[in-house]
Amino acid sequence: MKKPITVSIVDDEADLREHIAGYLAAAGNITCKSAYASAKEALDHLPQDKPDVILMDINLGEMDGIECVRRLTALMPDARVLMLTVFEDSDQIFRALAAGASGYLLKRLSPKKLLEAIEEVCAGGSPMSAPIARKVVQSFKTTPSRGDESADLSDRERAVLDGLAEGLAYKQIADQLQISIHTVRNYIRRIYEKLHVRSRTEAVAKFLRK
Amino acid sequence: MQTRDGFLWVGTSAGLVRFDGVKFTPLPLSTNSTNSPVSITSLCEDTGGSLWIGTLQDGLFELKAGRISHFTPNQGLLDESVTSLDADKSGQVWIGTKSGLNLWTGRELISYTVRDGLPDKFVAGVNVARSGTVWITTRAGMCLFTGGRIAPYALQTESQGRSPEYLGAYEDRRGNLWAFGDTYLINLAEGKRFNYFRSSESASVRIWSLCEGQDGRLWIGTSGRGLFCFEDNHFQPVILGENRWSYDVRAIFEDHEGNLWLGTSGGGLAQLRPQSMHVLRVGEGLPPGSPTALALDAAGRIFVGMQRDGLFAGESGRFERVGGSDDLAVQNFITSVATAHDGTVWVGTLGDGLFGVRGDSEIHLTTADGLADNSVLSICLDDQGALWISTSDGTVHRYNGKEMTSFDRDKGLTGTPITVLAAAAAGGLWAATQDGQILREQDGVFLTNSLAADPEDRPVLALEEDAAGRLWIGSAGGGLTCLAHDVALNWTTNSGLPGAMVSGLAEDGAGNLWLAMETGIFRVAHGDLERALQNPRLPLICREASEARTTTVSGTIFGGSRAVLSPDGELWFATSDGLLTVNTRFSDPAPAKLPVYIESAAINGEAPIPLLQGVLWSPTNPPAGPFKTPVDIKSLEFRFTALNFASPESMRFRYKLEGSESEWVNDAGTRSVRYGPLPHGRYRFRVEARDADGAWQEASESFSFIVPTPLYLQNWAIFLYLTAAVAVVTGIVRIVSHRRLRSVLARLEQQQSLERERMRIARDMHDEMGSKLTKISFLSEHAQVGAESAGPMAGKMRAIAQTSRELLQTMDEIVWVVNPRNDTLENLVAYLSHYAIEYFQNTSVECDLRLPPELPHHPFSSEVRHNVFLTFEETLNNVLKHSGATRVQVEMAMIGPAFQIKIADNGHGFALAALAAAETTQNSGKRRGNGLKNMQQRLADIGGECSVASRPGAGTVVTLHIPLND
Repeated sequence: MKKPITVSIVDDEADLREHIAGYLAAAGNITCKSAYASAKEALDHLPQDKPDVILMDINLGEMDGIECVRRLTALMPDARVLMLTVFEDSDQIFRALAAGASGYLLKRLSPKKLLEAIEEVCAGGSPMSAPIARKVVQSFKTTPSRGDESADLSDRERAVLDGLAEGLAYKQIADQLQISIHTVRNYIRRIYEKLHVRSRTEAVAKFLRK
Repeated sequence: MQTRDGFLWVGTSAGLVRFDGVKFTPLPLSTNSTNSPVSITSLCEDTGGSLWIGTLQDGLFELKAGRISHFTPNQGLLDESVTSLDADKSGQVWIGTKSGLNLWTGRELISYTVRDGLPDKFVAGVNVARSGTVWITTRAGMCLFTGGRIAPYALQTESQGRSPEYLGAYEDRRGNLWAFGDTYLINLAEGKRFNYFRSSESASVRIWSLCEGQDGRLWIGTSGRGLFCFEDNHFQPVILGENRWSYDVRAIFEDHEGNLWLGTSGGGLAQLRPQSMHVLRVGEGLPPGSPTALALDAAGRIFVGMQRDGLFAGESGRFERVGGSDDLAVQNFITSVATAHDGTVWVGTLGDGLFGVRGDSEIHLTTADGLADNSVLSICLDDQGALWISTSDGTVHRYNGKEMTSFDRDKGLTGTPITVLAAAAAGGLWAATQDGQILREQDGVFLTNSLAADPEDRPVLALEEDAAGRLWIGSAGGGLTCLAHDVALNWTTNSGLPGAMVSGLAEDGAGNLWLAMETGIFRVAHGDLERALQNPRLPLICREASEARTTTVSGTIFGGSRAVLSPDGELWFATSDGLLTVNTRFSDPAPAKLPVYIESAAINGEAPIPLLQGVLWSPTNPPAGPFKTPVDIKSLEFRFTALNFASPESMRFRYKLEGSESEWVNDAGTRSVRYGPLPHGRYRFRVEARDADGAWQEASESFSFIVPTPLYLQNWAIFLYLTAAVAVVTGIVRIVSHRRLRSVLARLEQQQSLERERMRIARDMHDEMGSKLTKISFLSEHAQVGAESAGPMAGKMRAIAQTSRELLQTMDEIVWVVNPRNDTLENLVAYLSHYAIEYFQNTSVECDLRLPPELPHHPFSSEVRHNVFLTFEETLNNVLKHSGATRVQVEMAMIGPAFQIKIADNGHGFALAALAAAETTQNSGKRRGNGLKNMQQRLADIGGECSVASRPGAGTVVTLHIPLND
């Protein structure tokens, strides 16, 4: 048997934390390592817990999940965070992804999908939907990088992103660019990483400007 | 205390508050010395309408016409600490302090001290009797002020060890003057003394206050034992359920509506409403334990079946065991009691059949006499004097004094035990079963009335036919049902009923319906009853009469009467607290004129200007001239209130701003209204209020105000007079356009507030309902895993999980449409494309999406989004359900100034002509036909177009065309 995937849950609803943990434990090869009700608790403990995947609610009260992700990725750069959200809200999701989250989950998804998503993100995947891709494109367009060229997209990455933004499936992009789906996934992950870098430098720049 | 304008004032150790039935408004009393809260010891209103406020260590305040005066020793007050206040008829105010007595004559403070004859400088209380005599209690005994001087008053005190400190004197309406000490009352007029508390208790008990109710009862507030009622020279403790009230009652006050207000130590302010003030007595002479069934005989004697202690009969409150018959039913649970015209009292028991007691003779009927079972559930007498008996095996018997006739299924019975039997006014019987059926007996045949049957088969506990011939049915769990004119109406906890179990029902002489429930005893006023019957959607208004609960049904369900009305208007209830009575002759106080007030106005969001205090204390002197507001009114908020303490929640308000509104507007319950920008002009704000049954009554004052003409308009006006006609024309145009601009602004403002509201709804749905639904979905999913392969449960769980997820999806759509944040084209595209991907996921249809790289920024109204989304959804639905396609291409693009969505499938297509034919003949009934028509209508509604191109075998292309110019 494979080593179980460890998960930590950050959600201010106690029963929901329990249910998710209980479900994951019952349904898959996943153990819930810890669960926190607030961003602050999570920031205090997660770096020690070192879970494989963090499930993070967006609406967390005092400090929201997005800010929590921003700080968490600074503390643990390898953290894989999946945002949990009740409703699709591409603005919020994009902000979370820009802050360093690796993906997002709608809470209404069937638990089977939840498992799949956790497994996928664990395997290094970072799914990107067309609406999110469009926002990423815009983000790269509207905020020019600040001197850090490593944060600019390569031509190939740009092509993948444009394809996504136009609504193409991974497979279609792979066919178009004559690369494998696996490579497309890699590109997407790199796009995310650059997005994080940019959003971080942007944050620093904002900080310096103040 | 309550001032003449109707407000209730409460003095607390942290200041003075005004109460209007809904809201407490603190009244800041400022002292020069400190900012610490002022501790109030006493309140009184003088004949001139001033409110006097005595404090501990902060002197005396007078609130008059909205202005506060402060009296301290500098103004002649004897002590900073005021102990008591009372006003006499001539407008003078007597002030008891720790260092003597003051009298406010209207101009100055006069002092009376030990030198003037006070027994002690510490005045504990002052009370002005109707005769004008002032009763003064001091630490060293009582004295009175009469004829301009202080005279000692000697009173035999009890034992020498007692403190001679009387706390106060109180004059009731009959002119009895009561003095009260720590633990006793003295009627000063008769010199009679009433002790209640045993000496062993006296250490912990202390009388604090007296108050006479409108019905002449004297209420006594004590520490340690709570509230008492003193009536007919007896102390009656008031039954208040389960420590809901503090047992430390310091102040009592009865308002004009007859509500009793208790100021408690630690428990805050408690209100006893008139209905709850009927003193419900535990019948004297009854053994402890629960009465289970009641009956009245023709002479008005009440018979009480005690659960296991036999039968008792009572007259004027005293009860005796019936017939001394120790062997009667002592061992057996009494389920029902009925009295026959010949004086026989019939008692049904569980397990021991039926007993008939008449004088000293006794009949015992059991299975040997023809009963089918010895467990009797209910008995009743019909109009011929025959006894009907229902037993727990489902049989009904009729006993005419000689022989027993049995009724069974062949006479229309259902076989389930009959829990309640009741004589019907029109002859025959009503019967109700353990599974919620109602039957009607006539000439020995039972007919089931399917109308009133409980869909969930819950047992019926009580039946009561009212004067109008309606049958009221009390159920164990199913609430209250009324069967009238072949209509059955049902009330449950969802429709105002305070509980689901109605175990006793009785109608009183005034047509009020009384409900004995497991949550207490409730009364439904006749008017409320009729209203509820006429409009079944209205909640039933049940007023609590007592917290005494009826015995909860456990085990066998039986139907002895738990509520009966005696001919003299006494209602008797069998409760787990014992036998209780309510005097129903007590009528509701006549609806008085409602004091309605406009409280305050807040301009442009600034601190509210109190309008009330200006008129409050001098109703004859309204503020001079209309109020002038600033020129630039962005918002104007009024608060208003009406004083109704008995049922503040039933108050309804409506208002009108004359000058702006021509119709009355109903208040939504906020007791406030906000107006947006107001053009200059004269206005009058009026408020009307009414209670549940009253007519509209207008506020004593309306608020008139002027929004002045802005300067530039004034200048324009002057200019107009001086210039030529051409200029006049331009001027008018300017003014008119200016006004138009204003109305546009007002509309924008309105739209904005609408959007804020929508945003709020969206957020609430998102946050609250979303997270709860998510929880359900997870919980059921989780439970499903736990209950794996457990068969039907797992299936149900799966269904719950599935449904909650679908509901979340639906809500997501609603939230998306409603949320104004999504009002851009970009968001529309994002949502639709996401929706399409998700929709075709895990289906046989492959979805291919094409989006334009760039989209213009264009706002979309909620309506447009709604229509586009529904059309899009319908199209996808058609593709999946009807087209048989394996591929669908969704292409969104900008075509010139229009946005276009093209949905093309590779399915089998259809002939448009055939579809049109199907639609015209209306025989298809298929969603598809109607769907297409709907889709076209939807897009036409928003100025767009929906076109469909299809041929059999060549797939279908649906194009949604949405023009962006508006």
